[in-house]
Amino acid sequence: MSSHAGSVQAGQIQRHKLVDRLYHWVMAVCILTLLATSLLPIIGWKFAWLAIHWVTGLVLTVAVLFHIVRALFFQKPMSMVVDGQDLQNLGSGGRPGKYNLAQKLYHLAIAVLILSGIASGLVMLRKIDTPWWRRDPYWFSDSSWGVIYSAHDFVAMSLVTMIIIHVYFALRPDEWHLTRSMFRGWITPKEYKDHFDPKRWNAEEEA
Amino acid sequence: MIVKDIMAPFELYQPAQLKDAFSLLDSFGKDAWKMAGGYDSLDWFKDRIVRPQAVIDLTGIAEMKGIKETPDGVEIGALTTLSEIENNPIIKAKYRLLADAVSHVASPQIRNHGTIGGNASQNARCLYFRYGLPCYRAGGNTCFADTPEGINREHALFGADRCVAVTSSDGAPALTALDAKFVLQSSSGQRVIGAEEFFVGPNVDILHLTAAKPEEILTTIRLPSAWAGKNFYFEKVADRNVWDFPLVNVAAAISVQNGAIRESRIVVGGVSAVPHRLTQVEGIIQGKALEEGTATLAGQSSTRDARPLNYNGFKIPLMASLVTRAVRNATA
Repeated sequence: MSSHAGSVQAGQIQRHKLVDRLYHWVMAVCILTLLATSLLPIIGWKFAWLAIHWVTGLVLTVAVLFHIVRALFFQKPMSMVVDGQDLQNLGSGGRPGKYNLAQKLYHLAIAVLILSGIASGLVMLRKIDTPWWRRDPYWFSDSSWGVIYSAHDFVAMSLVTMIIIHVYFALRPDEWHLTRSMFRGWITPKEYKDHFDPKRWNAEEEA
Repeated sequence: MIVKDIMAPFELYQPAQLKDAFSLLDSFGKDAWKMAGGYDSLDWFKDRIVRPQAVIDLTGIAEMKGIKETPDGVEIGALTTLSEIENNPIIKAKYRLLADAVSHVASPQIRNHGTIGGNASQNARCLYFRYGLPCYRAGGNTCFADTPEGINREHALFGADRCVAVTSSDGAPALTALDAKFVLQSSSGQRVIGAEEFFVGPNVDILHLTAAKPEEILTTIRLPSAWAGKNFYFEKVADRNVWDFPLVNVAAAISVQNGAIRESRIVVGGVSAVPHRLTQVEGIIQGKALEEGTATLAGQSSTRDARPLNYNGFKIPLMASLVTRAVRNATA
């Protein structure tokens, strides 16, 4: 089975196109940078973190907007939505489509967290000087700002947990075909046959 | 409600040796408060904004006092009083800039007890911060001074990053101009850092004005011989001539050779959270003849990146004038 996409060769099945892998890694770098710039100063590593933090936040915002448009209009968004078959598979042990239930739930949680982080972060930008505006702390009341800051902080702490979970599963030997596909884009036909339901994920059609 | 003039109880420790002070700091951790002359500390205690469990009075530690010459310059113990520095013959002969600067601090009584370490390490005087409001510098998420109604005539022109408070030290700009090194010691060792690393802005640490960690004590300030005996100038402008913090002050050390400026270090206080070194101005005047035109150029160049707040625009021409006068009048 072959694919027309970039680095995927004969005998390989494409799982992630180059553009999607690039998005994943841009997002990963952004989130790690955002967490490092926010948390390292708290644990004692002092540096000028704020400008790096908000500029990275804007890069992440653009990347996420790109992903939303691409997922909604150029991919199959329903492949990431939990459906009845996923729940039936819980008991029967049936094979999943392109994404299993855990991946779908993880994506949902990450989406909610990142969108919340972006929304609260964009509002918080109003409180600092940028090249486009001078700060204005009076957009909201003190208590409202407190809620916004708390939401942003909650997202940060939750993302640390989510990254630990993500890295754990990425390093598990039985998930290695998925991890490799995020680097190189493909899985083998045997991995496709062993781990996925072709009726729910028609890889050839998608390629 | 903020209770004024009544201190909350604390345990007072008066170690006689540095190792005992480190032991106390390690024992109490964040519940300890290091105190030297006490002029900054007592305000915090009386306003009950700072309520330490243990106050460690360092003034009994003899090894942190005194001025001595070394092969590389001069070492000043952090507990040396401002009056001692002002009147010390070595400082007056070689580092007159520092003697001039500390002679402008507050009043004679305060200088008799206030220390150079405390003067350099003193916290911001922003009235909102000092009043105990939950501003950025106090760990909150708002600056009350940088608002349309905020009283900010004493605040920053440069380097504001959420917080717009400034350093109010007269000694700090002089120490920066003299390229002083700060010795910070703790139970785990010591580190020596330059003035430009010792003083930190809100972009790096919005809660503190210096890089000293809670477990560290500023024990010694070293003045390198490179700037001994150069041309110096210090001037301070405040609302009152005595017992007042600077609106703007300037400290300049200029090395002159054959009538031309070989090298200089010009530092302005009261315009930023850190002593604001004018590296661009220093570059502009390097190699130029020490004359009126050069002084005027220095003054005009000094305020290029200033960002005034609502009520501190007057600091821009004031700073330009002080820098002009510093370059024009710096003498050996």
